[in-house]
Amino acid sequence: MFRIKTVFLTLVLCIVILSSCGSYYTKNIKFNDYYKKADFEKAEQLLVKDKKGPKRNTKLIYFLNRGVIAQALGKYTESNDFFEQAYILGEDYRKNIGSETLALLSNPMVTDYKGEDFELLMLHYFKSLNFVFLNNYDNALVEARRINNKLNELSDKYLKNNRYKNDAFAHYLMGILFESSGEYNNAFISYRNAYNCYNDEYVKLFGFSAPPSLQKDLLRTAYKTGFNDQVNFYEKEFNLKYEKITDTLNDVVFLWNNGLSPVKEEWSINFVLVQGADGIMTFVNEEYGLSFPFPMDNKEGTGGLGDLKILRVAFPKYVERVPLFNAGSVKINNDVYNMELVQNINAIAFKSLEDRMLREFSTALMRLALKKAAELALRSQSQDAGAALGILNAITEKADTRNWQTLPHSIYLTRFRLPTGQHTLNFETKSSYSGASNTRSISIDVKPNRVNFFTFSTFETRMN
Amino acid sequence: MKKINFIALMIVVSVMFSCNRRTVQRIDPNKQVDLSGRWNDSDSKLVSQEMISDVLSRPWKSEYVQKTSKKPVVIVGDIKNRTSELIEPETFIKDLEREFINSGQVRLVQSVEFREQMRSERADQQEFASPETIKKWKKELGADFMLNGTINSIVDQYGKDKVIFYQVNLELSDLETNEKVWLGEKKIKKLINN
Repeated sequence: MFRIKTVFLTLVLCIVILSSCGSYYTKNIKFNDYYKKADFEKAEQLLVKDKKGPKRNTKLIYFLNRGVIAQALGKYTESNDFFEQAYILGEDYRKNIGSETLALLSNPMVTDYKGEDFELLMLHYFKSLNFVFLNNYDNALVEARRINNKLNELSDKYLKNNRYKNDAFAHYLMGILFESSGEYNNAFISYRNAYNCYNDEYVKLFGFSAPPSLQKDLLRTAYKTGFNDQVNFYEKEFNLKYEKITDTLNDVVFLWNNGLSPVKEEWSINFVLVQGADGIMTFVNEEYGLSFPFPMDNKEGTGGLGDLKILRVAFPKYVERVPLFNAGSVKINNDVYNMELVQNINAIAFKSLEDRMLREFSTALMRLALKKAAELALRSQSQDAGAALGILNAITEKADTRNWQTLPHSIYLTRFRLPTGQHTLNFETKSSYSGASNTRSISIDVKPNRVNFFTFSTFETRMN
Repeated sequence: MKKINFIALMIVVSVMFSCNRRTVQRIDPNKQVDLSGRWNDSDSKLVSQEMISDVLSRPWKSEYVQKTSKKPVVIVGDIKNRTSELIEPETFIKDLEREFINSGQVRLVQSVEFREQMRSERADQQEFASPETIKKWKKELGADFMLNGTINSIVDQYGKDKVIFYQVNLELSDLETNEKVWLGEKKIKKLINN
């Protein structure tokens, strides 16, 4: 009898250990490896082979990944088909009662992945670029307006300040898109919103302010819209005199997608169950100073919740993938243009999770309470069945570790002007950690009468 | 006892996640619906109706009719957006144009970009259309007055309360003399409680 019990317990322990190391990232390690090595063909093959990908509850991530890979392979129309599907999924997301209930009895990985706010916003970055690459500026403007709708939604959704509820880069991108279509008034408004968001919110939340290039963008579009008072205002604010453009050169926007966004992993903390008066149970963790009360029917000694003193709860956390490079510049002829940080997706991801950690805690504890209640309900019928469910509950306790993992860690930008035609530029990336640097020669074709967009991605991360 | 308790808990959970089905219904486009407090179609309509009825009741028009015994020809120029919102000027301009035309008191000509389109169509006709249907050059109706304007906004926010103040300024100028013949102003103030 004793031996059987030991074997059984060991077996359960093995299952628990095995199931606990399966975060979304490690489950897709092969795809992630290909992507990191910029082997987009192989990464795409993996996704194409995954026939269930578009049907699984992670289909949003599937479409986002396919969009990113197709863009990297230069298939812009196809890429946008995937991003459009992801966009529709994000827009039409509705909680499914069945899977939400199931999530409370097992873990949140059984629900449809609905995407983080910033992920659903960043989708339009890729999408609008695809349209720009296809020379379809009308549709790029549609994306700009969708960004605007998303930003309005975001600022209405969260009333509390001091949290991620406005995206400066999204405003900036909108400005660039409007300006490329000659809509200077809208461009000016977007640039001004971006400037204010960087300096009022990003400084406090993410530690960086408006990129210097935005100053010139503001002055130029204020002038072109005929807002002379605004030109004067910003000239004073920046201590910079606006210089009218007299040359016939073309605008070039060079974007650098640096590194990889953070991945989600699981961590768990133990809560002690404290019994209060009136059948109120409180989950307490002193280390983190957390306490959550739950109304529970509790009868001491009859297999009630009071018997279970310590409970493990799993939560998601972000793990940064620190990029190797943290500075870059574009050298063309004898001119050097420094890359300016415009978006830090890594920091936004961490902040977003932190902002809703309290909600994560309560959902996880609700899940735990329900699981225990189910176990106890069964135990009162049959001890063995109840015990079995208890074990199953322990095994299924898992955090939601899903996220969009092919996003860059951060985005840099620089703007310059070039004559029409082919050019070769040197793009240098540097690491202040290791002193490493890397220079790539990139040839670009600058077209007349438009803003020319070029992107470059680096995936190198720092080895710890 | 335990079982009942568990079922009760499940019901609570179900209720928490229910009532989430999306519904769509068609509503009257003239119905005023305010959701976020931002500039919307109702504002655009309200402002254009009031301002155009104001501009048409002022002395510049009767003076012009008296002098020339013709209806004045008007063009709606730029309406600049100086707010912090992306307002589609197009819909506002269209509302203004519609109010002008529906009044029957003025004649309206196409704006710059559409004139270009029409000219290229006319150029095309010179070559390909049958001679009796070709439209002639230099028959365009020149405007006498031009309407320009700005939309401004001030947002004041404290805690969960927000006041949005819009001010629309329109001005009508004589295209020959640059003289301003009418200045109009319309204010909209919205209080938003969250």
